[in-house]
Amino acid sequence: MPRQSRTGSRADVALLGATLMTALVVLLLPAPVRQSLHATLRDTFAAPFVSLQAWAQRGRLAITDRGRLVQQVDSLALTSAATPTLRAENERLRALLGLGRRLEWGFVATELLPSPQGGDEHAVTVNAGSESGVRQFSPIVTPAGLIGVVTQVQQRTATAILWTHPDFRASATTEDGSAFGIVSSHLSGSGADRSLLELRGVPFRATLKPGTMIVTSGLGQVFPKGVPIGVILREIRTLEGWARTYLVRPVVSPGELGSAMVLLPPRAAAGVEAAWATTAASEGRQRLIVTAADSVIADSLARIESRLRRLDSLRRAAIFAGDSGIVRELDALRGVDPASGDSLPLDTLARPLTPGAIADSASPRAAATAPRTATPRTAPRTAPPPPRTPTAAPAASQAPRPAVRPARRDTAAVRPPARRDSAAARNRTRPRPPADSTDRPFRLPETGAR
Amino acid sequence: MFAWLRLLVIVTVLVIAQFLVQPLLGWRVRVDLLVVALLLLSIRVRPGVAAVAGLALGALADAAAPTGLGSGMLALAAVGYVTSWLKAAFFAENAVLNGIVIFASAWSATLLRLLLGGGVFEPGFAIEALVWAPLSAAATAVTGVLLFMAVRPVLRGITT
Repeated sequence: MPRQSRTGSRADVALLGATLMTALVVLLLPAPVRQSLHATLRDTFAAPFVSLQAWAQRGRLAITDRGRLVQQVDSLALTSAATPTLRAENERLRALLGLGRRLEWGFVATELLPSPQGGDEHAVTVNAGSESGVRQFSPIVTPAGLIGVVTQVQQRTATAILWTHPDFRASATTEDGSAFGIVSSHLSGSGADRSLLELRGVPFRATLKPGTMIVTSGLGQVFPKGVPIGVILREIRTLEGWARTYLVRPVVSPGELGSAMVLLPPRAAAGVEAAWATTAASEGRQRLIVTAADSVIADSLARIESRLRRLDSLRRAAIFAGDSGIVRELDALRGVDPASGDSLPLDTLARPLTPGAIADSASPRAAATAPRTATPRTAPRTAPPPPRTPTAAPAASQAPRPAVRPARRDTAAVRPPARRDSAAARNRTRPRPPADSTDRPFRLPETGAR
Repeated sequence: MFAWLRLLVIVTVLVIAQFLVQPLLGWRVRVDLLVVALLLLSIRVRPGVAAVAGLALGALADAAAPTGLGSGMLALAAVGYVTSWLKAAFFAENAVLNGIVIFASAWSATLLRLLLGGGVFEPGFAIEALVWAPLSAAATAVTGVLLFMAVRPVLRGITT
């Protein structure tokens, strides 16, 4: 009877009944109680196993997610690589929409397609033709400005030449209308300069500063007035002696070709100045500021160089004359330390290097070596000028004239203001340093000083 | 004495493996190591004790599961008692017979859990009960048979 003893004892049956009853009670408990019991079990009895299970699930998730994450990173990298291009395109299209809003009517938005391989690189195909109202010589513009002109028109497409084309010509003027000329491509340029323009035929009296905005003049009846073309870079030498020629940087760079607008003849005839006025003005001012800063720096460098040359010539003259004191002073002014070598602090250059100034700076040493009979010059220089009574001249002018003019004194009494004014004017035109210029730091000249 | 200790260690390792390996593998066909551990234990103890062990292992399984507290307890308690009562089949040392018993135990435990856990009304019940549960039970049977053969020398000497 061993089998009966293993399976049939009352204790086993009682244990079975108790376990089944327990399981049934747990199973039939109300949901909230079951949930709380479930939570208690998870937090106490089964906590290590539950955490083990969670850890294993996280591990599996990490393994399975690796491939997905790698794919996600790859796709994000691709997206981020394309983002700058998309952003630039977005900005370009937004600008085009803005131009369309300003123009309001009379234009066709189009794409400029480059010529096929081996074709004319300075011509493009426009995907709008006579059906859309495009005509020969219709201007092609972008939000930045002029880009080309339509030369041939088909029903649904057209051919246009860009501003780099040898046949491109546009009547142009400055924004203020002070100078006129003809804009054409810079054929003598090579490389990046080939994409520049030339403003030819500018009257010799008209001097254009770098940064001046050039716009269409509207005189040729092809381009409406006021479409930006480019910005003056510098004057270039040509064989035409009767007029000036300027190099112009176009407002539209060759890399910005893509979306553009064709101005239809009625719109071009109606004028489009307002469409570019704000943009051109702000961009022109920005370029003017940049160019002015460049000019100031170049001007300062030129002044420094000329002062150095003058200093060297004075030094050579002093050496030739055998005045070692002046040579030492000049070396000190130039910042040359015989022991340390040639160094030139900037503030030294601010000092006026006129011969008089050199002589003044050398005078104490000269006084030390010269005979004691030399009169010290400090007194008249440091003493304030004698006071002038402002009423003296009018009083003199109001005085009755003598019958015989003693001449020059009276004349001086009658005409002192004019003479003082002319002297002052001369002083203004002549760049002379102030009396205490040796103590002032070097300052760059004003923009309009030249 | 040491044989009982070894048995407890093996059961504990199997329970840990159940909670560690199953989620790590994530297979649809699951090897129920809790059932294998229960069978390993129940054939060496009295039926009442096997029922209590089943209740404890079931509580552990239910606690780790998101819902259905009590269903695993009831299923494994019943399986433990029955397999303890059928322990003669295991002592026959017939691998096929052992496999059939393990298969039947695992499948019935899964069915009881599904039934008592309220899974009858879920749309995938039939597929789960008639396809995935037998497949899982078969995998459990294969694993159990191999495990029984492996641990038999270690657990020799344990008698009730």
